[in-house]
Amino acid sequence: MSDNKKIIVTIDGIEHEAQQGQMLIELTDQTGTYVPRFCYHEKLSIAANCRMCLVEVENSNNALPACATPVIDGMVVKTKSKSAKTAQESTMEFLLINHPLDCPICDQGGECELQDLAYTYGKNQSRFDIQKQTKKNDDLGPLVSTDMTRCIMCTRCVRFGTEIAGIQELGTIGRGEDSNISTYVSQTVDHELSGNIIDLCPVGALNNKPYRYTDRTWELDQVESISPHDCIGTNIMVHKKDDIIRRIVPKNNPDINEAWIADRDRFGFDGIYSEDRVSNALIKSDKDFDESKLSNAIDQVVEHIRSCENENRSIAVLFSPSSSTEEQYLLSDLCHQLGITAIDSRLRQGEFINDLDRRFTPHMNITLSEVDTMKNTLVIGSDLRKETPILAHRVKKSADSGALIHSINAHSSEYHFKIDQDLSTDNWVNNIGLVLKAAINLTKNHLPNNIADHLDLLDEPTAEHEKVAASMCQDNSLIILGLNAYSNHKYQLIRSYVHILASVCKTNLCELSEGSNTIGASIHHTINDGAENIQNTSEILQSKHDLLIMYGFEPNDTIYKNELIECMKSANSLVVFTPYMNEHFQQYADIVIPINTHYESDGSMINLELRNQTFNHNQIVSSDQFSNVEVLMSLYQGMDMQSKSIDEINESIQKGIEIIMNSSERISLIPKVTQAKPIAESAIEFNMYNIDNVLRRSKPLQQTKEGIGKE
Amino acid sequence: MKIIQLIKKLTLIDFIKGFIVTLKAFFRRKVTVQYPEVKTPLSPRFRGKLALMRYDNGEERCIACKLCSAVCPAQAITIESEERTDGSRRTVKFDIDAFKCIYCGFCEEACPVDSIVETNIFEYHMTENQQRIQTKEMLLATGDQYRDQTIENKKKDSRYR
Repeated sequence: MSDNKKIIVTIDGIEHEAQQGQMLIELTDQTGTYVPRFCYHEKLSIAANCRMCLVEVENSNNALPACATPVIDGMVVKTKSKSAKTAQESTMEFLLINHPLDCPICDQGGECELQDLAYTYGKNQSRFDIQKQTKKNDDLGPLVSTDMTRCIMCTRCVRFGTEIAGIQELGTIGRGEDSNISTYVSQTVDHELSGNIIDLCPVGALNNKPYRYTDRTWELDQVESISPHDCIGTNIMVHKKDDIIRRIVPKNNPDINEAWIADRDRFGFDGIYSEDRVSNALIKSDKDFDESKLSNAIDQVVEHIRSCENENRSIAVLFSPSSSTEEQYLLSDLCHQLGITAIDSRLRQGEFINDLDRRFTPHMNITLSEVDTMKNTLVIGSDLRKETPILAHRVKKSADSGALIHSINAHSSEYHFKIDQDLSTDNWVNNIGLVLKAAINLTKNHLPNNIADHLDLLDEPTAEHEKVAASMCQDNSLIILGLNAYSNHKYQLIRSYVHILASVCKTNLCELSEGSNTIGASIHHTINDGAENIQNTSEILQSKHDLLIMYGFEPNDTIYKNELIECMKSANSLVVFTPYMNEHFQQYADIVIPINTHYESDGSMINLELRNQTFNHNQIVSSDQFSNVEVLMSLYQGMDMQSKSIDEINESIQKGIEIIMNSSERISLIPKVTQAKPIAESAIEFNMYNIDNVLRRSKPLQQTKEGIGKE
Repeated sequence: MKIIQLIKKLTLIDFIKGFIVTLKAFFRRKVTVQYPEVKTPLSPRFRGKLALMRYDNGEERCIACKLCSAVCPAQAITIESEERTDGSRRTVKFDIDAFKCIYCGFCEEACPVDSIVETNIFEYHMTENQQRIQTKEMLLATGDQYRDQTIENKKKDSRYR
């Protein structure tokens, strides 16, 4: 396979250069010759069971399947000759024997591969007049609908289960004509990527359940976008009709998400049509809210800020790490100009040390596609599959090609790949220290006294720790620091261990961050490096404020829910910028200003590999709503302040990204123990369908096992 | 030439020719009728007011495939659909804008279940602008009202399809 010798293959009379070991269908796809196919998919293994891609090859007695025929030097292939065409037409006739003619009610109608190819290769009249087969429909849960009679047994969904998801949820049972796709024992598909079988299915057998029977494909408009639910920056296509989002499908981006998206990216949008959306600005008088004009509410906020400013009282701002970089920048810059130092967006970080946090922004120093090529990966404090399903898939890919994956976490998490060393115990933070110690022993590095003294206090590393350390010290190794560690009250210690381990072993480092745009939120700090003494979330929550401003999140989004509610209670006035109303806002907020959710705004987001991606949902939102940036700009106007223009902001963002990208420095000291309180296990627990306000309100996701299992 | 013209003028020949045409028409069979007391016969293929049909058991035929709205050149048809509680695909909204409709009959051709049909009703009116929207209920009612007549017409025409 690795032989890179170029060979010549003739396709339909034109000579093409091909690579040894390539399959014929890959070459025809490259050269733009279309060969019909159902079971072949470039991201899946080759099954060659649909037989639709039969082509004529010279010197071969019968037609050969292009997807399973390797190219040979001097091969002469005819894809449109009479014999190829006859073979393809015959295959199509067999496929259509049992396929129902219910295209008018099938959601796949209009984007169906079978329907498209039937126009070219199908016969007008069926010659089959014996009774057609029907099959039993399995209930696959709230996300995927089934019409198994339509199945043509291409087994793409089965191969997806074994090869991509790593858990075989669907399988083939029965033989020949009686074969059937089924879950073996009756159960739902619960994998975090399982929605992708909807796109994979070439016919309408597996379909989008919430979208079922609502629209036809030709009615939908398509808008490119970025998913806001994790730090990966998954590329998506939003399909909308009449200014309402109908469904979301993946956008193929080989550098980020390939052809896959997580279920929460696909079904999460349902939350924006929740009934508790705030449509008008609300101002509290006595105990009830009065609806008011947005401009009035903004004026009131300005008044609040002014009065606090004049009397030198404290103002604190907390904002969502998932809002766009522009919003975050405007908000940070407003505070900067007003001299407000209490501003933060880190709602799930367990321990703060301002100096370290500001100098080292969590990000990854390689690209996502390079994760595939890693040979040794250590996953620390992470339920990787839940936190970042796409990254977990990348790690799985590397594991499939022989990489060793180790895990250190508070609890053993379920993985869809083999874990070589699992050091998950209650004392897991210690285990990281021991791995570091073992690595230092192994590399004989000289360390600053601070670290050496600290490590001397630990036990001696065992053979397991040494194994992990040895594996990390090899080339192409990667450490992933997950969100479980991020939310731990010993986060700073863990982070220092990891940074030192990464510099000792010269491994790559990937630090996951909360929300979709934590890096964007840190840009303003990065540019105005150390200009002021900024307070962090923990400090903000501990003190009493005269004015607390919350932007774009709700108490359930943080791990400090109780502390935040206390803080909201104690604040003299509480201003909330939120798309949704909830009981806490109802009770404590003084002014509520409606803002748009991600799917209704435009801007940019920076993913964990520092890729700046823009999205524009202006085509989705109806024009009478103010955009989030406009709302913030009106705050500037009210305060008689000059905001930066979008171009200037973009320039600053670019500058900030470059600063982060160019700093290859890593933490090289063990921090002093802070007095951070341990955070309740239930608060840290990462429920992947309960991490932001949109997902929490998505009906289909809340009906899944993960959704029901939430506290 | 002048002499011929002079003779024509004097004998009033052209005048008489004209009268002869009138006289012929006077005795010919009449093509006009006293509408609305008398009506002309209609072809079974006549394309009039739109209607939605039902099956014999009273179940509506329409399955919300939206092919009629896709094929409609005037974009007069608006459909919204969802899954009914029994799991079948049905419309929740089926509106035809009677002002937009050009009675081309494409919708009838496109319908895979013979649900939308054109009856031979051409004399109907509305007094207010909003009434131009024919809702699903109105269309089904029209279908029920002219059911027998429509079925008979479609049967007569089926030989030529």
